[in-house]
Amino acid sequence: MNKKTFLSSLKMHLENYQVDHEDIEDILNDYATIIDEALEKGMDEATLIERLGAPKQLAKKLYPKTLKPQGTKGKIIALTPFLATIIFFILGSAYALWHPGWMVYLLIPIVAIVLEGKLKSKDAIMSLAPFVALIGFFMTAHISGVWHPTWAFFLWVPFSTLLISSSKNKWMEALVFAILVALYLTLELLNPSADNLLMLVLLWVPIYTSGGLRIEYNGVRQRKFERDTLILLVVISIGYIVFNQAFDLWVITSLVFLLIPLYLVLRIMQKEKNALQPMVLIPFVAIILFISVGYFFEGWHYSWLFFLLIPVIAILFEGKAPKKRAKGLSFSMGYRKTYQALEEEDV
Amino acid sequence: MNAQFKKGVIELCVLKALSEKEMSAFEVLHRISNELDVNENTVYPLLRRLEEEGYLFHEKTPSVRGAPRKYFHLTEQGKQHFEQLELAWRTFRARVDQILEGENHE
Repeated sequence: MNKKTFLSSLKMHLENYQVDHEDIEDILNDYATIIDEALEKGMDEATLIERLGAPKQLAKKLYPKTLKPQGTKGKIIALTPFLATIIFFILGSAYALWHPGWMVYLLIPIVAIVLEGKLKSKDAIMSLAPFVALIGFFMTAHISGVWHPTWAFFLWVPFSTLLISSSKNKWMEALVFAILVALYLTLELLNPSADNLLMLVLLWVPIYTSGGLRIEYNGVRQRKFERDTLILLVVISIGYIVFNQAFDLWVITSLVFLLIPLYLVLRIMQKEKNALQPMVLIPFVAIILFISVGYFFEGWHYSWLFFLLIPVIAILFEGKAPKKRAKGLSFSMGYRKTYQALEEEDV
Repeated sequence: MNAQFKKGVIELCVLKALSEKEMSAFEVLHRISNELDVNENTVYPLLRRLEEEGYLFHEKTPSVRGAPRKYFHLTEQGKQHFEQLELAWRTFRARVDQILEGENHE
């Protein structure tokens, strides 16, 4: 392979990724100058190009997270929103199942995760966990008419982080978690009381000890960030329970838990010294509007439309995102991967 | 050299090289790949990421042959990041040495 074929091949592979044309040209210019300088210093072109690596692998290393979906899988993923809409309207108009028919829209992220990810990987399990919890909760509650304590399905999300953690005591931590949940549900059945919820605050203990709240930035663990996040989680949990024991506004005040991911996002942007972008806040705004309009105006059947703000704002603000992306930070319950371009084995 | 060891120190070594003087992408590639025996396809993506994260900036210098060349420098943020990584590495190395010396004494 010579310089010309190398750069042509690299360009072809880079065009498979969701990359600006300017970035592609910049990368190609960089590699061209690398090759030119090597030749000036007397290196053999073919040897250098061989050492630079295969263009396909280079493109993957440069953009590990932004591959465009291709082929049959890509087409299925692209068609899923339309299929979901058709199914939703059939369920609604033919069977009056607008709710829980809206849940077919969950097929969009689920299909993408299943087709693009590796189902056996920990990341796929964690990515699917919220959807498993959501579907379990709504289907069970809808069929049985019992919304409380059916919401306990959502505890599957933190529980699954314990199952995939690499903690030495993971099975003990998972057992403690399961026992606490079982105790809570038993108490709630025998003697329903909002006080029983305070037991669930203890769930953060096995999660914290398992490393589920491990936060890393550029490979360096951020213990202060972890501690601050845990404090925020515990304070919000206790505040939520105590407040609602007095005011009984469980549904609408559950929005306060959005402060946790919002706090993480704002800390990332502060670390990256990026200005706050609308796209970052839009999912939170959409959720708040969806729940508020549905709750206060009983408008659940149309408040879901607020979620359309997410793709609309993304399209409107495409290309205006900060050049410095929020890479290098890994966090969450169980996610340990850092978003660095060097997450490859063949270093 | 063990791949896991390399993965952790390449960034540190790149930042160290650039803390000493400005370098072109080729010069960084050449130095790192010779001294650490790593693939050249690892270094350029790393340079790009470090620049996107604000640790490096480049200046273009006209070249006799081809497009202008980028010469990379550390930013203030990059210098601080390098110092943090270097401290973390030295601490880690000291602790590992302590363990290894303890085994040898047995």
